[in-house]
Amino acid sequence: MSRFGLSQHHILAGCAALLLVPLAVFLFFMSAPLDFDEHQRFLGSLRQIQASEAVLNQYLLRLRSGAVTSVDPINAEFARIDALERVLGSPPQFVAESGRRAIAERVAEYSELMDRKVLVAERFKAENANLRTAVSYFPVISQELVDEAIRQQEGRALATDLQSLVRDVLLFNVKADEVLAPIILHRLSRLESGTGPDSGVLVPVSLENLIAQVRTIVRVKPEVESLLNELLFIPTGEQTAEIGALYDRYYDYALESRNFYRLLLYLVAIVALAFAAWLIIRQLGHQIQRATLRIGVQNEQLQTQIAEIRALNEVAVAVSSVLDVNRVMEIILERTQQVMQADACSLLQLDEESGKLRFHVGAASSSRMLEGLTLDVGQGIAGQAASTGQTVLVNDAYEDERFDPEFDRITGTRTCSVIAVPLMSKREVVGVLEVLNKRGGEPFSDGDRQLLESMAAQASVAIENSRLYERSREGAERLRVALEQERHLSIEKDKLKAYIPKNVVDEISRNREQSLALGGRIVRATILFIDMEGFTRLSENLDPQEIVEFLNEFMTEMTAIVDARNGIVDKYLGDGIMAVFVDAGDEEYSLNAVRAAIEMQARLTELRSRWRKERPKFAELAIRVGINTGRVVAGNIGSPTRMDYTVVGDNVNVASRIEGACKPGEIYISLSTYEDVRHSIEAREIEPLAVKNRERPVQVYVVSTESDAA
Amino acid sequence: MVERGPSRAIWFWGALLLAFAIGVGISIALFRPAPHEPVAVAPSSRSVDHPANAPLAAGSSPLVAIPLHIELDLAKVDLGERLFHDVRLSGDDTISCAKCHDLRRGGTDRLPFSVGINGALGDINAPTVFNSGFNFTQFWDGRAPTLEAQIDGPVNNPIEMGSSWEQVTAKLSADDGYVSDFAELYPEGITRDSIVDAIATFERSLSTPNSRFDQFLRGDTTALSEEEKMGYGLFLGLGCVECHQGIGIGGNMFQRMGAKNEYFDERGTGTDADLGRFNVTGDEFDRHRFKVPSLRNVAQTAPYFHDGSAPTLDEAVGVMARYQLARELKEEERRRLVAFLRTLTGEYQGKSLGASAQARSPFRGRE
Repeated sequence: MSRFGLSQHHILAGCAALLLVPLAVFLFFMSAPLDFDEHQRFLGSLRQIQASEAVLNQYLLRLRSGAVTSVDPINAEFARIDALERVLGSPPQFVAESGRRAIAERVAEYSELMDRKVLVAERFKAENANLRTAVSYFPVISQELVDEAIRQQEGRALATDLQSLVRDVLLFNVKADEVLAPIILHRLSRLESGTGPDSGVLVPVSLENLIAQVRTIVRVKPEVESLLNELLFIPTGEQTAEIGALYDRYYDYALESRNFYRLLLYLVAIVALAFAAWLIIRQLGHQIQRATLRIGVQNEQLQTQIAEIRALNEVAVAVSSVLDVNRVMEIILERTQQVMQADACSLLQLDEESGKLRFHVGAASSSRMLEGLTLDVGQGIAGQAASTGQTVLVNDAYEDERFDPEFDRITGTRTCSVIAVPLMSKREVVGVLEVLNKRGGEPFSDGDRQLLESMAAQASVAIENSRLYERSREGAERLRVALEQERHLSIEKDKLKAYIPKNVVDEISRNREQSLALGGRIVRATILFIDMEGFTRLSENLDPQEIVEFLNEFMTEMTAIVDARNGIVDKYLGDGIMAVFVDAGDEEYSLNAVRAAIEMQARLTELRSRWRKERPKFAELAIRVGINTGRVVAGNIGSPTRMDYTVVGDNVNVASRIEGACKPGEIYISLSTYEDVRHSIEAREIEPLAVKNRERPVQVYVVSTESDAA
Repeated sequence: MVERGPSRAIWFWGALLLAFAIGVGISIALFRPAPHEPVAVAPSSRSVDHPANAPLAAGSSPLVAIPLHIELDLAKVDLGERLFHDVRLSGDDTISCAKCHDLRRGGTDRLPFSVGINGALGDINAPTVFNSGFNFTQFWDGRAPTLEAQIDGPVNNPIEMGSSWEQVTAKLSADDGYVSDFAELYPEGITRDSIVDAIATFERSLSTPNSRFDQFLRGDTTALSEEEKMGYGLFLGLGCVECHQGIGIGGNMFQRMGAKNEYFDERGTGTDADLGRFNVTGDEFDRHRFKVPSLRNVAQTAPYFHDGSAPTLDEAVGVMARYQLARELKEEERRRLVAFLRTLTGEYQGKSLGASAQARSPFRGRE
């Protein structure tokens, strides 16, 4: 729109310039001021030529009258006029062509007249000189004749005649009319007859001469007069006046036409200015319009950006706050559809078990009926995005071979434009975010694609987080159920107490509890080993039934003692027992173990006295006891099918080693055990015992069996 | 578009501004007040105020002294002088202007008729070149209005110099000296017009002021002897001055040869040249009319008349009186008139033409 406006401006301005500029240039040249120098030169020449004519005529008259005796000034005026004619012959350039022609014609006519005047003037000059010669010479010769005639007696009449003739001729010369001419001629004939050969008067040659002069005067004088008349009446003055008038007319015309063109030029200038002003106003209007449009577009962009940011924000908030997967997906779908201005938005989740993509559709989506449907990876555009891990943008779905129109049939809509973005979690495709049909039928742009990709990135994180949360919540739920069961078991245990010894029930509970613990745990415990000295050798020669009966009796007696002292029989080791007294917080566990050992020795002494009667073969048996206290690893150890809850560790080995070193019938305890029981039990230090895996020998004490009666 | 907008707009505004500036400029140019001050007319020939103030005293005296100084372009005079003496102006490189207008011989060749190229004989007496600038026309019959026009005559005349301007300019253009000298004075270089202008300028410099008679006219009454003064009186009284007048003492009008008596009837054997101005105008009135020759330096320019028929001044004065005045002069009158005519010999380059002209000419060697 604005681009069109601008070019339209250019076209308008260009057309105006094409029209107005040549017109203005044309008018400018047409209205150029007249060349006043040329004008003055022409007018001045005209004035000079007129003045020269006047001067010339005056000279001619004076030449005739004798006031001027040289013709040089006349020649000079003719020369000036001739030079000025040439100036007049080329009128100023500003005179129109027709005027120049007309003036040139008049000047040519003038030139002809002037040529005629020059010719007549030549004759006038010559004849006037002739006349003047005669008139000046005539009195001279006349006087000579008179002088001669007076000398003769008969010449007096002649002299009188001659003197009359002189008077008449001189008068004739100065008078305008020629009435004297016949009189003069009459006198001449009388003179000729009066001085004939028969008159007796001496007739000198000079009389003929005189007559010739007079005849010349009579002949030439009228001629000179008529030549002068002709000269004065050659209408050169009228011609110059006409040339002047003609020139004035064309000068006025040139002046007027220039004024007219100048007026037109002003008009064109005003039009050009008005047009320029109009263009400026128009251009300003266009610019304001463009600026408004630009502001509108930018405003829209800002609104969109705000909406996008808000949507992303909400998704981010959803990610960090709402941890229900379905709720998160709902928000993502809702916001995505809103921000993308799409008709439909769906999120396809990859089902790990089936390997299919399952539809989740926004509540506002037009394709609500797709909820829960599945499609294969690779099927349709969304499937393509899932299989390739790349965003797919299609703006004409039916032209794209990847498009599967099946879902359009289900929803009853027509898909035009699609963007499908894979949801990635740890570089694995976990689903696809897909929008359909931008509102208003516009295609999706690259910007839309980027926006959807950022939405998808958020969505991936949100969904992943939700899943993790879900999973941990499920774990907690299972824990809660287990605890609930434990509570039930405790109740059951109380019920069982009447029938089942307490430590058995406790043990079950404990075992149950312990079984829940994953892996081992480190506990502080006192380990007690007993072993019958020489039983293996003895058992080789005995009846197995007898051995089992004996061992059961023995083990039962010993186990009872351990149980009584809150110990646990960890395991039966053939003819020996390993018992554990776990630190339960009362700090009596070591003392319990030592007391149990003392009781065992005491009990065995009682048993031996009985066995001497009933089973004499076993009457000499004695037991070794070794005790150690320390940190051990407690846990179910073994294969899944056969697993013992036991303790292992270096301290167990130390206890076993101490037991191995013990003399039959005695109780050896380690330093650590002694530290726990020294206030209650008497013991004496013996030499340290080297133990495997220990750099330093273990300090061992022998418990005095009589020392404690408790 | 958003980016291109501002640059396009700048062009647009720039163009508009320019248009506006042009408009304003045109307006200012046109509103300039027309020059009403009268411009001085080119002073081609004289000042404007001549007719109003010029005293009509001019011409009131029949004879006028030659001005002692004439303003001319001396460089052109020098160039013209060289051309005047240059034989290359003739067809066969034998004849210069000075051949027939020898400055040592009063500006003539002192022959009745001049000899042209190849020995051809002319049909009319060569007039003197001295003071020819004062003549109102050139040639005996006045067929050339100016000195410039006159030069065409002898150059192209087959029995005079027998050449053409084409030939002359070609020859002169081969001369480096001329080429550079012409280039200095005439932008057009060597052409007919520039050659003619130089020669005519030189000829205008050939005025002979300060004759004894001119000294007398300027007020020196002792410049003339008594007899010469009587001769001057006869010159005035007998009417000679009616034709031989002006600054040139002649040369300003035409007159019939034989005004009172028929000269040609008595001389016989007329030639075309005898027809005089009739040859120019074809008018019967002009038959036998000739330009009245200047009498300045007349003592140096014998023989006299267009036909060179009078070998001496005495004879010439007698012929003039007989045919122009119908008077047989007495011997005393003739003597006085001739004495007067001899006072008309002027000076060229400060020396009298009558004295030692032969020793003076710097061009003797080239002729």
